[in-house]
Amino acid sequence: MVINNVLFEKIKNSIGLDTVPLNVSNAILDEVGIDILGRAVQNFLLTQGEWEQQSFELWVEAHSGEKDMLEKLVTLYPVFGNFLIEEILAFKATT
Amino acid sequence: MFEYSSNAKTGKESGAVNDLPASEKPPIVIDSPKRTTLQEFTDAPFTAEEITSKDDYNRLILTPLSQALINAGYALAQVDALIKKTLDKIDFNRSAEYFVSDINLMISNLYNDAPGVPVATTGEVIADPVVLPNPAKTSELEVVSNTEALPVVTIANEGWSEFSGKDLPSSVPFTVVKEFASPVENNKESMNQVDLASAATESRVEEVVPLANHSDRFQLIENQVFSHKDYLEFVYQFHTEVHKQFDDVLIKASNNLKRYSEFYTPSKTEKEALQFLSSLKAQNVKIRSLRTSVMNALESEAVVVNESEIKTSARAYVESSQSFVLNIKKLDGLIEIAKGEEKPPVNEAYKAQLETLRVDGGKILTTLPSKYPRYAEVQDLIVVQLPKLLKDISVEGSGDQLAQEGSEWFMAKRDYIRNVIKYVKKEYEFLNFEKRMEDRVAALTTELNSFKKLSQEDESTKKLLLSDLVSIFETSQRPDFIPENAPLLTLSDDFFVEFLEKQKMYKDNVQNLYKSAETSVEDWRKKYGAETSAEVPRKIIIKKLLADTPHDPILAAVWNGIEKKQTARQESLGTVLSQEQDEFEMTRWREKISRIVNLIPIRKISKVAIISAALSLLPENNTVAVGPDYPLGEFNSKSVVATLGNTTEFNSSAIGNYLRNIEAEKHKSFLTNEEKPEVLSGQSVETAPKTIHEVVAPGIVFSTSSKPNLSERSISGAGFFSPQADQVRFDQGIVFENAGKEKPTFYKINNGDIFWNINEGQTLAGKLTVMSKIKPDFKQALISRMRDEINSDAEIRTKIGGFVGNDDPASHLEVGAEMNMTELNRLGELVAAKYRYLK
Repeated sequence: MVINNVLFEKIKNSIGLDTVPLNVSNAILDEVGIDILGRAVQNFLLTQGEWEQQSFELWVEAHSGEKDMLEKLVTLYPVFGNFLIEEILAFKATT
Repeated sequence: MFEYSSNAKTGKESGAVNDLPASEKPPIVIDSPKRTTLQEFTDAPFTAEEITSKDDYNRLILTPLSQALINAGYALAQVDALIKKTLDKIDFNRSAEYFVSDINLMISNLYNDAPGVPVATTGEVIADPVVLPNPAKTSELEVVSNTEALPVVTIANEGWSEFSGKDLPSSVPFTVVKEFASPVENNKESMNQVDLASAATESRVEEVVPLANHSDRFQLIENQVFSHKDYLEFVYQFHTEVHKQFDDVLIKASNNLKRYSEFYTPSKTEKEALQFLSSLKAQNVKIRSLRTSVMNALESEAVVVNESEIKTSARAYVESSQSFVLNIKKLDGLIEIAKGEEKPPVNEAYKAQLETLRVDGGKILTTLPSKYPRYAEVQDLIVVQLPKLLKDISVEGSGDQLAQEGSEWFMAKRDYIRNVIKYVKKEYEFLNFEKRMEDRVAALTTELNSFKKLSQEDESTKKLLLSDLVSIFETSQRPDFIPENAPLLTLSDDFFVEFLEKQKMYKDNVQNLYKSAETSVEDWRKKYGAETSAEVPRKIIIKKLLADTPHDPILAAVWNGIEKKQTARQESLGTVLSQEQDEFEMTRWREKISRIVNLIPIRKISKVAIISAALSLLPENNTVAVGPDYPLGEFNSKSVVATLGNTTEFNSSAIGNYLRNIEAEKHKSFLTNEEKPEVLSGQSVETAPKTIHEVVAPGIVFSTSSKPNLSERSISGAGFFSPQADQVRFDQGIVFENAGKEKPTFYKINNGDIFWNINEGQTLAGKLTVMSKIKPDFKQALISRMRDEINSDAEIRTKIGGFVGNDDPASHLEVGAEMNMTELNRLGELVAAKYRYLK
């Protein structure tokens, strides 16, 4: 399945995100994301050893700010990717 | 030691002249054929039955073989070296058959070397340098306990006298030097393996001429007519003796000086000796280089021997060696003195250390609040364990012994306690919230002060400072920074506002800067009024937003989801932490997670989440069409392929696929190095080109039969989308590579091309894109990984093409064959991703 920005825009429009200023919609995105990502990171870290946790953190640190960082992250850390997907699905289930 | 099978055969396979088949041979060892000459050894190879123990090996092989070799004209040191060399190759752990076969092979090789021929010319066998042509030295040689070795002297003498200086094989002296460089180690090894022909080893040591004679001899050699041979012998002999002394003193020092340096401070003499030792080591390096230059001169392959060079370098070597030897003696004396000194008993040293720990630990313990999670542990260590250790070690008489015997255990225990104390100290400092807060305030104050000093013109600096200020302020407001129940400190909004008011002359500038900052404190305050500071501003915004748009059910639903989620997160965090039972861990854990979260592009994730959530809230009739022309999906109930409204369809693979491909254009160019596909961004939906490729996604079947008209793309969910929806600019977003469209590039392999060069971009094939995408350090590693993949995987090999043969195909390219560079690049990309070589 492919999701696209068009779809996103439409949904965004439909739920009223486009009616608010950019910084506010960004704030909402951040708020949603922190929940999901925070849990995913926590769950992932709990399954990893000390050393792996550290290397993960270092990787994230080293690559933060790159445009395709998330893609690389999900590709390189499939376990983390799975946790992230789980969280997204769980988020969907609660709405 | 040896394992024998009952039907063991003779090990020798070729050239064996063994008349007796193994089965007819009596199992009694004594009856084995007599072998006294090399010829006999070769004629009657050993059988597995003959040798049943190490003793047999010594009795039947080592001793007679050494004798036979000596009889055949080898010098003692040669025999020693030969046997040792062979022994190195023999694996005593293998079965007897192999072992015997090895022995037989070795003997046969020895025989093939032809007795009588000066062995040194083989280049492998070490000539015996100890045997001197000088008749004056024969008396020393007689020290050799093995009287049978005497004929060796004459034979070897002839052998040596045959060499003129220039003919001397260059490898000889160096081999000798290596052999003798660490006599202690060599001896140890040989002892561990087998009792070597001990006569040879002993004689080697005893034959060394005492050093005192050396200076006289050197004088003699210098004064007489130049003789290359004499120089060579002298230098070698001299070096052997010096090095032996050096080794001896090293061993002595390591045995006597450093043994307990862990436990007490060394005495004055010991310190001096240790210093001397290190300077001696440095001197040794210098001596070694001098010797090398002598050896180089002596071994020079020039036709004419460079007499003056040899003389000068030999003199330099001998002279500096003599001071070296004097220093060795001095160190030896120092060590002797240090040995005689009285040392504190080991347990006293331990005691002192443990006492220090107890004092340190006691201090920490008093400052720690009793609610501190590790309090009990620390208390146990300091109040119970430490005194116990001290008591153990203080037992009269046995304490020292105990300390020495259980030294490792004591050290481990001591280190453990020390580390815990260190850790607790650090941890406590971290927990000291007031202190940390004070640091923040101090940092902020410094920033403010420098801000005040700035003139109006320093716009950029001011901007930087301001962003610093905001970040410091925000950090101090972050809930993860403030532990629960911690008193809020002085860094309040008022503090910040007060500053702003005081700086009226900068006010306008500051406000402008704030405006540019997306999430500035001032902005929030202006827009939403003064809220209680305990709440995170972002939440305030959202609440406000919800209040502003109360009629939007979906957003409200999403928001409800967020709030539910937050409760769930709190609960799950709680479970994790109740397992840990540790407030400190909780704080650390939260900081760690929020640190990571802040580094990951969060909005991309929330996009996916919001889409998936919103989709699940859609009426069931609304479905999304996914077709060849509409990879992006559109709400259209007419051409239904996949139903997104159904929660099962929007599954993990779909999300995963999306997450991995958000930056698809970039991804594609990275993968294929082809032209970017037409990007559709900037065009409206109505004029979207039809060149979107079919998308393959797991778990979903696409219809490729019909292409809906553009005009059919009306949106059925009227009323669902806001009026702006249709005017949304068409954003290509994701473009997947299309296998059908891809045009792989081929490279015709030229003569002389090798795999490595192709990958490195040193051929006409050009550079692989992947090479610029990885960290430069990993280039070689990547190529060798790719080579391994190609060697091991026939499928990849066929895909890429151009390889010949099955054995190490990556090294054998077929000239004229075409290599699929796209596939090669893809392989490189996969390998790079697998081993994380990517930038």
